Amino acid sequence: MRTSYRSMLATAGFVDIGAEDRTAEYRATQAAWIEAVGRRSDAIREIMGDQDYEERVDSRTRALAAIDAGLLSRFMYRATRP
Amino acid sequence: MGSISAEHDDDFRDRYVRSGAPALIEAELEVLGSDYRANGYTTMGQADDLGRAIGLQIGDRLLDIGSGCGWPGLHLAARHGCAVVGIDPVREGGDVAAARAARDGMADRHAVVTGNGDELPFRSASFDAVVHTDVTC
Repeated sequence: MRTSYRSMLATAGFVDIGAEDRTAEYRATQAAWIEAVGRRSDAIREIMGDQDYEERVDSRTRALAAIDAGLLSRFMYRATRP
Repeated sequence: MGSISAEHDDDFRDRYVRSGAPALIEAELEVLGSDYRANGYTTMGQADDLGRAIGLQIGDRLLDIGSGCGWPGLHLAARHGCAVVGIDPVREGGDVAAARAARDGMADRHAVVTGNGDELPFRSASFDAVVHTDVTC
């Protein structure tokens, strides 16, 4: 059974739980990674090897699509343990 | 000591070892604004928001779960004057973090434990604040 992060915090005894949606920033960061790594592809391929490089780029690209499809989100949670 | 899988740990071990390459640091600076060998999604601005949100102060003791190579825990400790303990299942990340702490003159305010967030090896109420970023992604 899926449990929300908020409910996990509450179950663990945290109170005053606040959440800020940071999904837009997450999307921007993911897109920035794809671009920054792409511009340095020759050097980074040399570091990681072609297979690892392509797997990482593919993973980030799929994650970007998942964010746009509403399947991935990012929140900043803050809570207090009494 | 818990771990997701040996393959997962090997993958992160490789990442941590290679993460100091100039091209990767350049990309990190451009994307996150940090140079701690990170490759996640916590930007410098978000790390600073986090530090303010939890009210870190000089002398506090912070736990960074899934600390990797030290981002953002080391940055938060440097910014707020607190101590930080990192915990990560892959030792190599902690080695990188310890070297960075020493380079930044913060070795006396930094410690790292190889371990898993499911089985924290600390006494209750050992920390003033706990953070974890880019762990559940």
